[in-house]
Amino acid sequence: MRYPPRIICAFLLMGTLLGNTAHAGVSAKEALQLGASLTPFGAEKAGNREGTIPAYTGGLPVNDLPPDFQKGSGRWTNPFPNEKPLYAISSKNIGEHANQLSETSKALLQRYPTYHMDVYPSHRSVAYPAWVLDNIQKNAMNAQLAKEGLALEGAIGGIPFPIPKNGYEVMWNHMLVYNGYPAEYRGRNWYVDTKGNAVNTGDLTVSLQSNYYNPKWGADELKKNGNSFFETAYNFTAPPNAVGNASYAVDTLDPVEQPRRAWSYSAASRRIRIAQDFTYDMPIASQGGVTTYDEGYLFLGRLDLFDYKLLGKREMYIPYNNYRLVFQSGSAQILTPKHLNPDDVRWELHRVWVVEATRKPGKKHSISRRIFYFDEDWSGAGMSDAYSRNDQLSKGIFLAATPLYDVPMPMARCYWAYDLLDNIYTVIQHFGDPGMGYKLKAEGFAPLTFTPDALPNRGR
Amino acid sequence: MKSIQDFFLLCQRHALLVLVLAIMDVMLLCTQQGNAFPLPTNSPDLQLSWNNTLRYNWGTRMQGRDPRIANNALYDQGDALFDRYDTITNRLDWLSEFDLSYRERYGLRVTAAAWHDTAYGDFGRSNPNALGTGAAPTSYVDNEFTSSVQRYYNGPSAELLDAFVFGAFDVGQAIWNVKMGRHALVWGESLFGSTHAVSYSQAPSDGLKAISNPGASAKETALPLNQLSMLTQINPKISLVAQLGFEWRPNRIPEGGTYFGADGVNEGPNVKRLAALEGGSGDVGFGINWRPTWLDGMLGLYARRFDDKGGWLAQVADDGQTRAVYARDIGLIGVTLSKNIGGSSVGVELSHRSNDPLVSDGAASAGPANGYEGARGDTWHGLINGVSSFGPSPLYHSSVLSAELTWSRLDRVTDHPELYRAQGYLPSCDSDPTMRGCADKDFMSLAVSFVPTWLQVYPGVDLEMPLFFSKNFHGNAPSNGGGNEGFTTFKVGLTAKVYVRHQFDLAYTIYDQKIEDAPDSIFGSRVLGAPYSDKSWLSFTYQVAF
Repeated sequence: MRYPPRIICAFLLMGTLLGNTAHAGVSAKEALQLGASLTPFGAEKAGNREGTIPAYTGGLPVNDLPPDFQKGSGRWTNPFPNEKPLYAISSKNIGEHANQLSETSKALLQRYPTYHMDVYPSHRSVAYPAWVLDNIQKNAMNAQLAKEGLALEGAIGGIPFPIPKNGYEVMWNHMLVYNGYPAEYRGRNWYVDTKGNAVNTGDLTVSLQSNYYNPKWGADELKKNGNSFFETAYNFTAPPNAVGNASYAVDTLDPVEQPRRAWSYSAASRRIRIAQDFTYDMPIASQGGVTTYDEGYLFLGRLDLFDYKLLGKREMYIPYNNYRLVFQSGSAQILTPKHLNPDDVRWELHRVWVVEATRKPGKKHSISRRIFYFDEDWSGAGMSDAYSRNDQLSKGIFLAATPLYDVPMPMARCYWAYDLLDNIYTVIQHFGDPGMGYKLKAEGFAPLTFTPDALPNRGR
Repeated sequence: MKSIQDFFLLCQRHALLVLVLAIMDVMLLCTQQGNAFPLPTNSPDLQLSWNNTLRYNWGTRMQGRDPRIANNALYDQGDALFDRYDTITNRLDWLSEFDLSYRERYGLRVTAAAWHDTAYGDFGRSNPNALGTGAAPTSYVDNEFTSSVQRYYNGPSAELLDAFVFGAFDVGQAIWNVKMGRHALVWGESLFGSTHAVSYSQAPSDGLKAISNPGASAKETALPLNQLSMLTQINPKISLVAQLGFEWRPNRIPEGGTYFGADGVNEGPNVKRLAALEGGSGDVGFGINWRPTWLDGMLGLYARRFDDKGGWLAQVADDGQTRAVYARDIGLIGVTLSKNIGGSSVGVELSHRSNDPLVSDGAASAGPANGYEGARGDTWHGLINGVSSFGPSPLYHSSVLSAELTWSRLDRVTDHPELYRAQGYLPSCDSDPTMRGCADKDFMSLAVSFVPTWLQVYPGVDLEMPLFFSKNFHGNAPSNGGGNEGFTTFKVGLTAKVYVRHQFDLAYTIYDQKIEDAPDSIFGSRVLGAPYSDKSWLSFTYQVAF
């Protein structure tokens, strides 16, 4: 440690322990909490006092699978099929639960009489393989922010900051959750317009890998080999006017040095082209413009336009164990006007890390402020509230946890977003329709899968 | 209002087409999902799909005739055919694409296009008082359109486009992606056309469809050739591309006496014209794509040898007749760079062509012993382009800006310098050479496209306003068909994308060019480039994909 503890405390109080002054990880003494009072990944092991959040006991067991689950089917069936909602939250009893609801949830409840939230018993269903937990233990001591929180160093194969000290560390944890890698899947995207029409904006075949979760690599090898933590290659199989178009994008742990790079293949012109930047607040047309390019999985992008402040932890209702919604329900059933069919969405009370992102003075972004809520078990699940136009609540995004209990592996890929100003909502990567599904590639991808020149091969 | 009446009249006359469109619409609106036709197969390894695009185009002439075009025998027919506010196209196009793939590694693709246009009848028109009819007689006997005009304009007709098999083969660490059959290849980084690009004459272009059929995609306007091609990934940093052609086809250009045509007829029989001297099969090309880490981009090196797809279209032959001549064995070496610079996608090309057909004397040719050729030479071609996307602003939700600057220059004349139409080579170029269509040493052109987008303006409706401007702002290109100074295209459009798969476009296109009265010319005027400066038009397009 380069600086005396007292100075570090001073920095902590100012909330600016960033940049070149960052030290590597937490102290050995603090790290001892992992596996003791905290789970190996830094969540509180104990349940809450009311008993509504259970203690963490290792997640869903791999040797006790739901009888209707078929391994390799690409669908994970509900392991709690007989559970009934404990209660429903509606506009009538919103006051009893106000502290556990995101602002978007409250707004939806107040706005739509047809909307309610079915609260089910909480299950801390996430389980990790031992090698990931080992990595997290090491990351606790070794991981550090660099370049004012925009980059990450010294971490590999697990969330970097099990005992996060600031908003940037929490944001990196979320971007680096162990989340169903590597995989090839077919998901379907929708938006539902103000009139209630559901519009299928794309069927995508996606190949996804994270070199950050390459079990053979350490942090140094990762850095030497491109430093990427998120590589996606996808092609459209619908709608017909997009069929054959393909894209490939890479995100790295140091976006200052190595910004996101993307390539696209146009089936019409048969050209592979390096793409211009699609980043920040550029709206994604194929999602009805509800979401922006930095809102994939709640947030995926550079942390430079906002200040990220850790507000602490709260108990909140977040979408969790949504197997029925994500894998077992057809789109026609779930896509009701104005909002998702509330009968199909499972809500559970979980502890979440809360981060407030405030747009830096002089920076341009259509959103002025965001509040993020991330599951303490790092399932990937969480929510966000976004504010724009004079700090008006404008958007909320929900990302549902569906841990792959047979592997075991956390997984949260399906998410949905409500535009509260334009009254549109979008659902991304839904796997419930025939032909859709999520396939893990245990053996990984062939070496030349993630390259620009592989795009015509996927797209044609 | 005549055009509106025309429109309804044509709708009545073509009740069947209208009915088909209406049925398609109902089908699609009923099934919001409307997902192509992923045909069911019994094997998860086998994927079949059948995609279709139906497109309706209506266009009307918005300008009266300019006598400098209408009274010039080189251009009178195309100008005589339609009056202001006449319907110039009333056309239905259907593109059908069938794809089969096995394990996403092997498969085949077959596509076809069909069309029918009721705006063209069986006969063209001409101006009996046009100047210079002795030198440029009316193209058609009794003004009756030839069978090829009947086919490609009127229809109903159809043609096969893509028809190829493909496979991906692992050879050691490398992956060889091989295609065999009719398919189009376009290498390099150019954005707007390939006239001065590494991809020059790589795929014949359907210029007929490209200019008169807004909304036609490159799938339809880049004509496929029968060839073997491969893209071999040696490793993540290096790929090789190669092609070997088994077929030659020429560019399609608007035919004589049609709205966008000069009065020369390219396909089929014609007054005072002999059969074309065509190119042959055997185009070859190689390229290396190199993506070194230090560059954070791609360098491409290309070498090609090919026959021209655009020709000297009216070479003087025997007995005062003319014929199209397509130059053989053009060499091209090019280097390209593509890189994301400051958030923009930037492309650069520099290429050198040898044996390139040059702008040549219209009054003479190299004669039968030399294949009636014009002059040939070595030429330089370069371009730099960029594409940027912008996020929300008070004016739009997002926008895309694309721009391309193109340059070309004569290196040297190598064959038949006496036929090179340029100052110092031909006496007729001694005065006012540019206006007389004589080549300049350098040529430069700029094209800019800006497309702002507004999302969900109405439920399920996204709006775009495509703006396009291009101008050849310096010189006549030394290469044959390389562009004329002053030619300008301006296009403003409004596009509505409805529930993703329906698209409505309204576009107004204006052309400008250098044009002048020329009492000294037998034609009475000089028109530099295609005779479009009185042909601004308004188009409406509806297309649906299913």
